Amino acid sequence: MRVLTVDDSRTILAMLQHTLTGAGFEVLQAADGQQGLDVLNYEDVDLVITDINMPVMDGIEFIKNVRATGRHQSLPILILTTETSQEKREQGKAAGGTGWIVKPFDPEKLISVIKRVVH
Amino acid sequence: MSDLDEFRATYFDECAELLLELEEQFAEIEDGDRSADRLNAVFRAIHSIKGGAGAFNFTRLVEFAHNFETLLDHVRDGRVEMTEDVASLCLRSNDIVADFVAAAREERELDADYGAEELARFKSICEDEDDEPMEEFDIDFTPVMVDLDGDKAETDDAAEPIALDPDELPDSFDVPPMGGEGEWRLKFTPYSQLYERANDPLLLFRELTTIGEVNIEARLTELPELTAFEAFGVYCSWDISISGKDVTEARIREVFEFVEGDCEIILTGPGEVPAFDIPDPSLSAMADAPPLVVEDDEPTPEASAPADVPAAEEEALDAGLSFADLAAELAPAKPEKPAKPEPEREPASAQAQDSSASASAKTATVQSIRVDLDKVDRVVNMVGELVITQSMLTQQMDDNLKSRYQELVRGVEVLAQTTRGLQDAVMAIRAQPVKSVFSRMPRLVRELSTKTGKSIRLEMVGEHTEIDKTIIEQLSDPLTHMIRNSADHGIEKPEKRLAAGKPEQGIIRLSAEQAGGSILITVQDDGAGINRERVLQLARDRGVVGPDQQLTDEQIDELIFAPGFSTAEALSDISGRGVGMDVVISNIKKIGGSVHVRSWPGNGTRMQLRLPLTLAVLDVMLVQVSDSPYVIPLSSIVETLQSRRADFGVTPSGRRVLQVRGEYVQVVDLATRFELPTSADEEERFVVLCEADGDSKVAVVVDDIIGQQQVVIKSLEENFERIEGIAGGTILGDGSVALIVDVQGVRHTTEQKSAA
Amino acid sequence: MEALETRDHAYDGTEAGTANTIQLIAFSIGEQVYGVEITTVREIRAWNGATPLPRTREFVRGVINLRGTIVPIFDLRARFGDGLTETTKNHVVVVMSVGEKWVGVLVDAVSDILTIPRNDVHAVPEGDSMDAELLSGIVTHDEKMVGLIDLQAIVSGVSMDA
Repeated sequence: MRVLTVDDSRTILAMLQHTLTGAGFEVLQAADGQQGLDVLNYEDVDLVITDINMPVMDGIEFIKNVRATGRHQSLPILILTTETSQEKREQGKAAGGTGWIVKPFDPEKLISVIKRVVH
Repeated sequence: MSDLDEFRATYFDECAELLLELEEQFAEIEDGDRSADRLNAVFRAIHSIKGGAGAFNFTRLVEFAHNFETLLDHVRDGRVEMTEDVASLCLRSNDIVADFVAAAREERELDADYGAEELARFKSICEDEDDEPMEEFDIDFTPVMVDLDGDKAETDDAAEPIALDPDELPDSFDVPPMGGEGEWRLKFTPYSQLYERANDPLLLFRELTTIGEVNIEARLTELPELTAFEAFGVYCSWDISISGKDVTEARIREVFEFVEGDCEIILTGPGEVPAFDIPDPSLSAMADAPPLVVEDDEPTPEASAPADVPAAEEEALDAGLSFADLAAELAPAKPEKPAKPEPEREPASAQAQDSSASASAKTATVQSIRVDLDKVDRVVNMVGELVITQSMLTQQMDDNLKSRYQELVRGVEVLAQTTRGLQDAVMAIRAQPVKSVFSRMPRLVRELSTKTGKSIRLEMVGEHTEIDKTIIEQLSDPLTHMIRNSADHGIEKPEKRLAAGKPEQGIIRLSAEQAGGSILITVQDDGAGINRERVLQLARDRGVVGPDQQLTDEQIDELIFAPGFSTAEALSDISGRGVGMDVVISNIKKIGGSVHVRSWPGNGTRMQLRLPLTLAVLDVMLVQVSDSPYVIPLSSIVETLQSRRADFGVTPSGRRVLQVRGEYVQVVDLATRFELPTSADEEERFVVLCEADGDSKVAVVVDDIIGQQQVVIKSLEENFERIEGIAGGTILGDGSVALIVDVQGVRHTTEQKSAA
Repeated sequence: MEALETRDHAYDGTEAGTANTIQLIAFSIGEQVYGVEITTVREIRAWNGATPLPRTREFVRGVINLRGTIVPIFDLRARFGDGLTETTKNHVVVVMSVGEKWVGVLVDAVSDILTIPRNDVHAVPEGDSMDAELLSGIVTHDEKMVGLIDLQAIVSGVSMDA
């Protein structure tokens, strides 16, 4: 199972990597939406976890772009954000996000949320 | 190191970078640039600092950053104007964030009221705009499931670490948990967008099984004739029953958290009578159907609020209106709402800024990748080898060979050219703009202004000049010292400046430029200049200068770099701290640079660092001692002379000295120093006059001088150990190893030995 | 510069014998045969001079350039107290890894590769000889005694000041 993590914070990427590899996932990383798209262009992944607030291309734009490619229509995308304000989450959902995870995240919670969107 | 420690280290690394960026951004904002790009970058950086801080429970940092971020958010979408006052609040707050980060890193607690004033200001500014206390929407740190209920949104959990255990989560749906053995019935009808967003009913069912006994039946009544079947049509819905003692409405709803609005859920508690047995088929076809129909005594108003909040209402939402109000306002508009995501839905101003920022970032930002420095150094090393191999090839081509194999010769020439190009390109990878150190200076100057009561403006020029990363890392301390010195001793107090007919505000100008193979970094102030009389007097008092020694103006100016010398009568809080400007010189010498100072009485002082472009390649003089090759860094060589023309003398204590231009210089014979036999005729040997630490000189005696060349520095310690007086090794054109003389080291040990 | 044989990472534990045997590279100094475990050997090359290091003990012959890295060379004969090796082009440097570091040992010749049962490695007899200090064991092969070099001991105490 491969997960692409997209976040401009190295701290968050590192924590995700730790939790996810610990749970047996293979983790790919990208620092912004554009990089995320680049990765998806040549790598197959089973799940995407993305931040919203990022330079170059933000998470909303990223999700819209992912959904726009036919290949990734059924790729689960979890929005990772400190914004619990409904606003960002709804924007993410509207763009095609599957679900969300709130930072800071609890490792167990993260895995249980992932189980809700991937087999 | 535990994982947590590792994450902390990563976090603080990242904070350092973000704070650096913030310094840069705020320097521009201070200069009047209030563009959306700038504000977005600042917002993002503060946001990232806050995000990580939350993970480590740095509550005060989180609280401060959060409120700062809210202010910035208000500024960037135009709700708060970036007045001078707000700008200076932001600048101050940036420093406070940096202090909170530092405190968190060092695990110490700042004063309880530290930053309190700014915090209060954030709140009052944002409140003025919102008419509502911002705490009401300060829900960033409420738990995972956000309350949709207007009257519960008042909870201020800002300082609380997040609760992540689902069992500890407050009931988000304002329905009293209904436990017990009863059976819950659920009618679940997905809309097409549930699938479009990659949710999968099967997974939801699987999760349901973790809370109780589940029985699922598919309703296939909607299935069309095969000919009418659409590939992506949604025809299936499910009747589900769940029973068990832990089953509550909240737990069931949590499972469907992500698909709220993308499906119809009709939930009936134990003992209740289902309201709809047969779902209205038009509902499942209509994406804008009320996403939740709560079969409860009190249908909550927010339950009918559409998941998509239109743009115009976003502000109202932020301004603290309840969802109930919102829902009422929205009601008439509902039927037009399409299921598809609307790109124009986001708040107009913020989104416009966001997209323009990302658009311009795409064109303006240089694409970059993060590479382990070790990998770069490996390339640097290999290119170094290539350079050496190439020069070996060139050396071994004699005239005979050249005339016979002209094609080969041309090939080697091309190779030489390409190799040089490759070397430059590789060095450029290690190069970084000096602005990473420069950007720390505005804060320093602000602090110095406050401490000294002087008005000082910092001007920076050439911060994009690039220089080797290792050198940049060594630059911070010397630059800090130089700027402190300028602020402390250079710039006069306002009244003194006015009296001298100067503007009240003093200027420190920090600039960087490339000059040939060097980088010049200049700190220039428009202050009073060096008080030569006082400097000379102090130097004589402290025995730095002999009573009868006459010095030129330039020599007096350079005295401020003499070891232990400080022109301040009392060590001030600023420049003092027990170290003087001599630190500057020794740091700079270590990286192969030099320092010069010039002063114009009444008009200011200029201190200039000359630095090599890179540390990986060293310009050296190749010398010979006892048949072995040694190299001496050119940057430390003042001059060379033949032994027979040198004016040697012996001190009363028996030490050999060289007299050069009225100065007595310590003599170090490398053969003696390294205990090597030499057969060279004393008269034919050479003296290499070098500059060591603290402006002192040392005369190094060698058997022969062979020439100058560029070499790549190699570590001796990697496979061996440090040898006193040797700074490392290097590989010569013929593949053999030459040792690099540590000019300061040979001098030091000799002194110790003679003292012993 | 001409390498006789390159063993860069070519041997790992599985090739270097089994759980019950060890493989040694044997080399000679005069009549005496010494050995090191083959897994530690990185490269064997002909002697081509070295740049002397000042203020080091006599047995440190200096440093050489091994593909861009500076590697110190220890004269094994001198290390055992038998004076400096009179070097010729036929002398050999065995480059080995000792912990993180690479070091070269100057010997007369490389003679053989030996596979020895682990049980046949004997302790070095106690005594005040240099052997006890610098050898980690002794094995017998073809009725000849082979001293196992203790690399860590060989490379310690190199500085004159030490």
